[in-house]
Amino acid sequence: MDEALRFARAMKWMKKGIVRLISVCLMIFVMFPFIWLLLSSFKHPVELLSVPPSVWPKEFTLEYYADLLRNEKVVLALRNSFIVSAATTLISLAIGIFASYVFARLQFRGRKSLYLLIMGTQMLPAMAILIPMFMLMRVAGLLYTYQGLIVANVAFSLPYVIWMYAAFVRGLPYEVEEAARIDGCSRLQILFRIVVPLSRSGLAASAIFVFIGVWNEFLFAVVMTQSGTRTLPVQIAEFIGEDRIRYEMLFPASILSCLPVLIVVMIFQKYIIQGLTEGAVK
Amino acid sequence: MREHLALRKSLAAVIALILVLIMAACGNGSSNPVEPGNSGTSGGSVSAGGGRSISVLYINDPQYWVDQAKEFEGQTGIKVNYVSVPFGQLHDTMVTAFTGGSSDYDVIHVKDDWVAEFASKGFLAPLDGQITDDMRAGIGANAFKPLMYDGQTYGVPRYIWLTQFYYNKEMFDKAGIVAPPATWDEFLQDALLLKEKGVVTYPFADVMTEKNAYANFIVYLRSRGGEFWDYEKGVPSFNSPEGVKALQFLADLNLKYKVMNPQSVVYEQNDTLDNFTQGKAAMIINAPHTFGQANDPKLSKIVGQAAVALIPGDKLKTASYAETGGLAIPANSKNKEAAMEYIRFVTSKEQEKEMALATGRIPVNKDALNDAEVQTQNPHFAPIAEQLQYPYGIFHHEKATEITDTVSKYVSAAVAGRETPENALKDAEAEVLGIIGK
Amino acid sequence: MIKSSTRATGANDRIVRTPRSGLRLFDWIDHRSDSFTAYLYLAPTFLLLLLLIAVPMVYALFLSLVKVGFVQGSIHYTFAGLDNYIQLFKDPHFTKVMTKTVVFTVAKVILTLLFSFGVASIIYFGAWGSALFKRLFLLPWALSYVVNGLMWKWMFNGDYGIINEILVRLGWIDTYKAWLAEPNSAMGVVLLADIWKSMPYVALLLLAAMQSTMKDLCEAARTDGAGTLGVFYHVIVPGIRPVILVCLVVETMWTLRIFDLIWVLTQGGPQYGTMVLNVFAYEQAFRNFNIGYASAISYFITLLTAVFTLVYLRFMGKEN
Repeated sequence: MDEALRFARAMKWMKKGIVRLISVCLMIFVMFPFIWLLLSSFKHPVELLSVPPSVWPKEFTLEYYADLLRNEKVVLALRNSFIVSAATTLISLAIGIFASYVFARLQFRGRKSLYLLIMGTQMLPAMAILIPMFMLMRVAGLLYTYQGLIVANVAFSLPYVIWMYAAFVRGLPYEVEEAARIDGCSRLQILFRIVVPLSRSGLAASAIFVFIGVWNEFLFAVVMTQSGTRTLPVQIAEFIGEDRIRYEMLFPASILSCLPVLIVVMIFQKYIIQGLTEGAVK
Repeated sequence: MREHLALRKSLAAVIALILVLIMAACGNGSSNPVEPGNSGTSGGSVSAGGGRSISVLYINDPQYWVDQAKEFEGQTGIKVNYVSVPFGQLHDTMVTAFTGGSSDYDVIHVKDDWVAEFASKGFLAPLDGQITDDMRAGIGANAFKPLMYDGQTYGVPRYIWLTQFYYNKEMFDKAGIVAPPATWDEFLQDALLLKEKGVVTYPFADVMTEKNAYANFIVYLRSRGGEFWDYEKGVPSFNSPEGVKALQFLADLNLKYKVMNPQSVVYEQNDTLDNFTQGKAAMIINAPHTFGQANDPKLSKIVGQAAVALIPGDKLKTASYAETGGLAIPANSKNKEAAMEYIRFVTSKEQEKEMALATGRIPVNKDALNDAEVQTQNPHFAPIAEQLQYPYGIFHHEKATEITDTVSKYVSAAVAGRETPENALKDAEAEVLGIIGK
Repeated sequence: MIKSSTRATGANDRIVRTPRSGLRLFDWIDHRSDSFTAYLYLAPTFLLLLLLIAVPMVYALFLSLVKVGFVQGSIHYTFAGLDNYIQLFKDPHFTKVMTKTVVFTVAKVILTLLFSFGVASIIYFGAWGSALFKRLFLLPWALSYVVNGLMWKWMFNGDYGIINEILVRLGWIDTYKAWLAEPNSAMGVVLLADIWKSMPYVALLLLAAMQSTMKDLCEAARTDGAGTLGVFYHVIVPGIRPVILVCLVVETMWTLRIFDLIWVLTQGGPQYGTMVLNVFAYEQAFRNFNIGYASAISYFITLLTAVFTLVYLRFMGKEN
C-alpha cells in the first residue's frame, strides 16, 4: 500500500520533471540563437573569431551600433522598409477585407474554384516569376520605385490575407449581420460597421503577418529597388562584402532590423492570440 | 467599448502617419536620383556638362568605389547614379536586368568569366573603337586579353585579383624554417615540420568548396605543367596525369598528412583569410586584400607577421590564378559616351594609383603598379611582376559557371576523400563534356 | 451590447437616409445579388493577381516550354514542347535532388509541427517559464532569412562556432567538427535553422486553436478523471485537426519554396546533400542560364505542392 503510493508519487514527480525538461530544452532552442546574436553584436571582430568563443563580451562596445545609425544609407533603408511594409500592409488589408468577406459570407457560382485559384498563385516558387515580374515592372515604369515594390508585395500578401482573414470572418456569429440587414443596413454598412470592428483582432493578426513578411522580403527587393529605394534586408546584405563578411556590422544591423518588428508584435500580440482564437479554427 | 474606441483612434493615427510617409516618399521619389536612365531620352546627345548622367552598378565595400564616382562627378559634371548591390547579388542583378531587356545601367563591373558569359549573348557593347592608344599603352595589351571574347574587347581592366602565397613569418621562425617554400615538395616538408613542432595544428588552409575549389586546383595543376582547358579544341584538359597528380597532392595534404585544415571543403576565401589572420594557419593562397587585413589590428592577431612569396612550383617555377576586374558597357546603354568617359577616368594612372593605395587591389596600369608610394605601402606587390610572368589567366567559357561548379564538386569530393582523384577527374570530364555537348 | 446598439443606429439610419440622387448609383450597387456583389468585391483582388502573378506565371509556363537563347542581346525562343520537363527526369541528379526534397520537406514539416506543438502546449498549460515564453517565442520570426542563415552558419562554424564549444564542454564530441562539410550533418543544420525560423508562426496558430476550442472540453475531461496524456489524445488532437491541416499545407508550400537559407548555409552541398528542387532551379536559372529548364523545374515544384496538399486532404479529412 505504502509502496504503491510512493510509486505513484514518484511517477508523478518524474512526469513533472520530464515536462519541465522538455519545456526548458525548447526554451533554450528558441531563445539561445537570439541571445547569442545579441551578445555578439557588442563584440569586436577579433573577439567574434576567438577560440573558445567568449560568452560575455570581454570588451563591450556600442561602436558598431553608432556606426550603423550614422550610416545614412542604413537609416534611409530603415525608412524605406517601413514605408514599403506599412503601405503594403494597409493596401493588402483594404483589398483583402472585401475578398475575405466574399469568401466567408457570399454564395456565388465558382466560389470554390476562385478560392483555389487564389491559393494556387502561391504554389509557384517566387524565383520563377522574378524575371517576368521585372519585365512587367519595367514596361509599367514602376521599376525602382516604392510603388512598384509595394504593388508586387501586395500581390504576394493578398492570398495569405484572404486565407487568414476569411477564417476570422467565418467565425463571427451570422445573426448579428442578419439583424442589421433586417434593420435596413446596406452591405457596406454591415461590412464596415459590424464585420470589421468585430473581427478587428483578426485584422491585427493579418496585418502583422503581412508586415513581417514584407519587412524581411529579399529576392524581389534586390532587383526592384535602387539606391534611393533600397530596403533594409538588402542593405544589410551589403555587409557581406567581396573582401570579408563584416560580422561586427551584420549582427548589430540584424538586431536593429528586428526592433521595429518586435515593437509591432509586442503591441499587437494580444490581438494576434485573441484573433486567431476566434478565427482559424472554424 | 472604450477599448474599441482606443483601437479605432490609434488605427486612425497609424493610417494618417502612413499616408503622410507615403506622400513624402512619392514626393521625394521624383526629386531623388532614384530614376535610372531608362527615360528614353539619350543622355549622350546632350552637349557636354549639364544634364548628362550615367548609372554605375557595383559594390560599396570598400567605400573607395563610391568616393571615386563622386570625384568623377566633380571633375566632369556628369551625374553618376551609383547603384551598389550586395556583392553576392551582383551577378544575378545583371542577369535579371539583361534578360528583362533593361537599359538601366551604363557601366557595370565584369570579370573574365562574366565577359564570356554576357558577351556571347550580346549583352555587352564592344569597346575596341573607343579604347584610345593612350589607354592601351598604359594598361598593356596583355591585360586586355582576359576581357576579350571572340576577338573583340568588351571590358577595360582595372585591377587583378591575383592569388598569391602568404605565410606567417613568426610561425616559420618558430619551426626553424628560414625561407618560404619554392616547390610543393618543400611546401609539404615545411607544413609537416610546422605541425610536428606543434606550432599550429593545421599549417595550411585552402578554398576547396563545391563552388570554388576549381580555382586553386588550377594553380596546382598548372605548376605541374598541366592546363585546365584546351582552348583550341574547346575541350577540357584537366583529366591528365598532371591533373591526377595535383589532385592527389591536395587529397594527401588533407587525408594522409593532415596538414590541411579538413574544413577547407567548406572554406571560401574569406574563411581561409580569417584562419590566417587569427593565427590558425601558417600558409594560405589568397587574394591581395590578405595583406591589409592581416596587418589591421582591429581584425588580426598576427599584425606584422604576414609575408608573401611566389606560389610554390613544380615543373614550372610558379603559377597562379587571377581574375581581371574591369568595366564594361551594356549593349542597351543609352549613354555610352559618358560611360566611356567614366571608364577612361577610373582606369587612368592617377586613379589606379589611388585605388591601389585605398583598397590594396593590384592596378593593371604598370606605372601605377610600379609607383614607389604604392610599392612601399603594399609590400605584397613586390613578387607580382615575376608571378605574372607565369600562367595566371582565369578559365573562361560561355558556360564557365556551370563547368566550374561541376569540376569544383568533384575536386571537393576528392579532397574530402569521398572519391579517388582518378575517378573524380574522369567523372568531372565526362560531365563537362555533356554540358558543352561533346 | 454591440448587437443592440447597432440595431438601434441601423434603424435610425433608415429613417434619415432616403435615397438621395448622388447616392443612387451607390445604392443600386449595394442592392445587387450576392453573385454580383461577390464579383464586384473580388474585382480588385483578381485584377491585381491577374496582372502581377498570373501574367508572370503564364510567361513562366511559356518559358518552360521553350529553349531560351540570346541573339544580339535580345531574348530568343525556340519551341521545345515538353523537352524541359523530360530533361528533368533524365537529369543524372534528379533522383538525388528529389529524394533530398522529399526527405527535407517531410522531416521539416513534421518536426516543425512537433516542436511547435510543444511550445504551444507549454504556454497553454502554463508550464514553468511560460509567462516569459509567451512574450518571446515569436522572436525568430522577426529575423530575415539571409541573417538567419548566416547566424546559424556562424554558430556551427568549425573554427569558432559556439555550438562546437558547447558540445565539447558537454563531452559529446572530442574536437570541433565541420558540421557543414558532411551531407547528413549539413542537412541537420539546415533543418534546425529552418525549423527555428518557422516554429513561431505554427506555434501561434496551434496555440490559438487549442485556446479557442478546448478549454471547456479539457476541464470536462479532467473532471472525468482523464490524465494529461488522456486529455492530449482524446480531446486536443482531434479538436485541432483542422488547424493542423492548415499548418501542414502552408508549411509544405513554404518548405518546397525554400531558397535563401540553404543558399547561405550550404549552396545545396556537400554532394547534393542539401540540394532541394528550388535551389536546383536557382542554379539552373541564374548560374547556368538555363531559364527554360529552371521554369520547368518550378512548375514541377508547383505540381509537387499540389500533390502534397491532396495527400493531406485525403488523410486529414475533408473539412476544407
